[in-house]
Amino acid sequence: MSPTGHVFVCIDCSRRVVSERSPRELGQYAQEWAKERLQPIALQTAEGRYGAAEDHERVRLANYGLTTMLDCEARVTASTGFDGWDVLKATRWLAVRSLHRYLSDDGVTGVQRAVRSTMANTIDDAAPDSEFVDGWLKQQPPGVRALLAARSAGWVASLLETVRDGDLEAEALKPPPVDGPPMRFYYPGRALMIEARVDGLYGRKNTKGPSAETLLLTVTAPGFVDDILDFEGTAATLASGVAPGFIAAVLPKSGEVHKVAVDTAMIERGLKLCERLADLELRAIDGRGATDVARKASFFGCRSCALAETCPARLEADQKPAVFGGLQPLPVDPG
Amino acid sequence: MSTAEVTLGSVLTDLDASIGTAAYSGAVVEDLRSAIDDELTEAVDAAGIDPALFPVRVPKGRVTSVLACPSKALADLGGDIPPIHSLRGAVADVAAVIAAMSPRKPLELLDVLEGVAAIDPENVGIEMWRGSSKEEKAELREILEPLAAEVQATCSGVAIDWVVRPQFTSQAAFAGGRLLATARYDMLLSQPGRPRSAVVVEVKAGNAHSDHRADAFLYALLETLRTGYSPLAIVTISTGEPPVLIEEVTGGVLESASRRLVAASRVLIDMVANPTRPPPEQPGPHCVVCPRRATCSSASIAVDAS
Repeated sequence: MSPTGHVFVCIDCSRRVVSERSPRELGQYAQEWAKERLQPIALQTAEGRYGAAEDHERVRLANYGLTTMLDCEARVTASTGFDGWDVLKATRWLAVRSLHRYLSDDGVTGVQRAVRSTMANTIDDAAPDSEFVDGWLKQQPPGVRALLAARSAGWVASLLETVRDGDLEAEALKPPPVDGPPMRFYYPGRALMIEARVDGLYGRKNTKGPSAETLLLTVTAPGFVDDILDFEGTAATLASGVAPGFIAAVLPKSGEVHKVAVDTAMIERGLKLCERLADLELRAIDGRGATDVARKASFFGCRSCALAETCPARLEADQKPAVFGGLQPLPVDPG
Repeated sequence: MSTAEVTLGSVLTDLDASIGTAAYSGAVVEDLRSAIDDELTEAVDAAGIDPALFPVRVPKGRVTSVLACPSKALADLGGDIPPIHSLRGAVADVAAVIAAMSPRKPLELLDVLEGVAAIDPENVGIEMWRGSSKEEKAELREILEPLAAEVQATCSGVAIDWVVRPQFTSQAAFAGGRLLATARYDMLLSQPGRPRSAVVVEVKAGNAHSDHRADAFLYALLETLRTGYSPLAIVTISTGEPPVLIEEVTGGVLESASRRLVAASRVLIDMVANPTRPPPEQPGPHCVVCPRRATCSSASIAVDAS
C-alpha cells in the first residue's frame, strides 16, 4: 500500500486510481454503512418491527426499481410487484445464460447456437407446473420463442461487439455470476435484499492490493448511467464483500462505454440511492404512499402506473398541449 | 407460397467475402463525426434554445418529414396510424425476424400474430385484430397471409452464424449531447467474433419508395458512427418491386446522409427555438395526404400543378 492509499491500474487505459481503502476494506465499509443506515428502513414499519422475512416477502432493491425511481419516485410507491414473465423480461434471463454457454468450453460455437441450446435445455428441464421462467417459456408458441431467441442473441452480440470491437479488448470476457449469493446482499433479518446486475466481467481480482477486476453492465437508459453505475458498483460490493476495481456501462445504442473506478465516493453515492429506494419500496407496503416524493409525468411511465388517474403531475401534464421532442403539433383541418 | 429468387440468405452469402473490409473506418469516420458535430454545435449555440428542451431529438422519420415539408411534419405529430397500416408493418417485421432466425418451414399467420402480440401488445393493429368479427378476420387474413408468406420467403436461408438483432435502435449525440439523432432498424445482422460484419436490414410492407433509399443512407451513417466502421450494406426487403434492394455504403452515401441530417436538424433546431413562428410550407406530392391540405396555400399549388 502506498502512503496515500491503494493504487489501482486500469488494464485498458493504464489509468492509475488511488483509493484510501483496499477492495476488502471497501466491502466492509459498505456493509457496515448499509447495516447502520438501512436499519430504520429495513427493520421498521408503521405497524412495527419486521421479523425474518420469507423469500417472497423481502423488499428487493434492484435495477428495475432504481431506474423507475430515477424517472419518477411516485411510481415506485405504486409498484404492485412482479406481474409475470413476458418476452421483454425473459430476454436478459435467456441472454445471460446463453452468454455463459457461449463463453464456456462445452463445445457450443456461435451465439445463435448457444441461445438455441440454452432455450432447448430450459424447456426440456422445465417441470410441467413450473411457475418460473422455464414454465412460461415451455408454453410459448414458436413465433414467440423465435423472437425471444433473436432478442437474446442480439443482447449477447451487442455486449460482445462493444467489448471486443471497442476499447475493452485487453483481457478475455468472463461470464457473470447469474443468481444467488454472489449477486445479493441480505440485510440481517433478511427483510431487505439488494441485488446486483452484472452482465459480464474481466480482469484479475485482488482483495488486498490493486484489483483489475472490471464488472460490465449493459445500460439502455443513457440518461441515468452515472446513478446506475453507482448503484450497481455498490450492490456488487455489498454482495461479495469485496469491491471490484472498476465498473463499466456498455451502451449498445451508441456503442459507448463508460468505465469508472469503484471507490469510497461511489460507494457512498450508491448507498444513498439504496437508502432512498428502500424508503420508496417500503412505502408501497406500509401505507405511507406517495407523499413528499418526486413526480414526473411521461407517456410511457404513466401508462402503466396505478397512480396515474389521480397523480397531480399527470393531471397537470394533461392540461398542457402535447409536445413531441420540443415540438407542438399544428392544428389540422376539421373533419 | 411463393419462393423468392433472391433471399436475404443469398445476399448475406454474397457479402460474406467482404466481412472485415469496411469501406470507411478510423480517422475517416471521426472526421465525418467532427464535421457534423461542428455544424450542429454552431446551429444549437446560435438558436438560443431553452436548456429544458434539450436534447433536440432528430429521429429518422422526422428527418424525412421536415425535409419534405416542415408544416406537414408538425401537423402529423401525434396523429394516429391507421390500424391496418400498423398491423401490416408489424406482421412484415415479425415475419422477417422469424424467417431469418429459423431455418425450418415458414410459420402460419396466427403464429406471426402471436409474435406481434408478445412484443407489442398495445399495437393498434393487434387490438383491431382481437376486436374483429369472424368475417372481418377472414378479410384481414386475405391481406396478411400473402404478406407474411412473402416476407418469410424473402428473408429465409440465413446461416446460423448470423445473429439477428430485431428493432435495433442506434443513436448519435452531437453538440455535447444537446442534439440526439436516432434510428431504429428492423434488423441488424452481424457475426459475433468476426468484426466489421454488420448488415442493416429494413423491411417494407409495400412498394419501394425514394424515401426508403434516403432512410437507408441515414441508417448507414448512424451505424458507421455507432461502431466506428461502415456496415457492409443496407438491404431493403419489400413486398413490392424490387423485393430486395442492396445499397452499398459508399462515400457518397455517407456524405448525402450527413447533408440531410444536418439540414433536417437545422430546421428542427429552428422550430424548437421558435415555437410560435409558423413553420415553412413546401408543396409536393405529400400534400395529397397532409391533414392541412384543405387550408394550406402550398397544398393548393401542389394540387393545381398535378
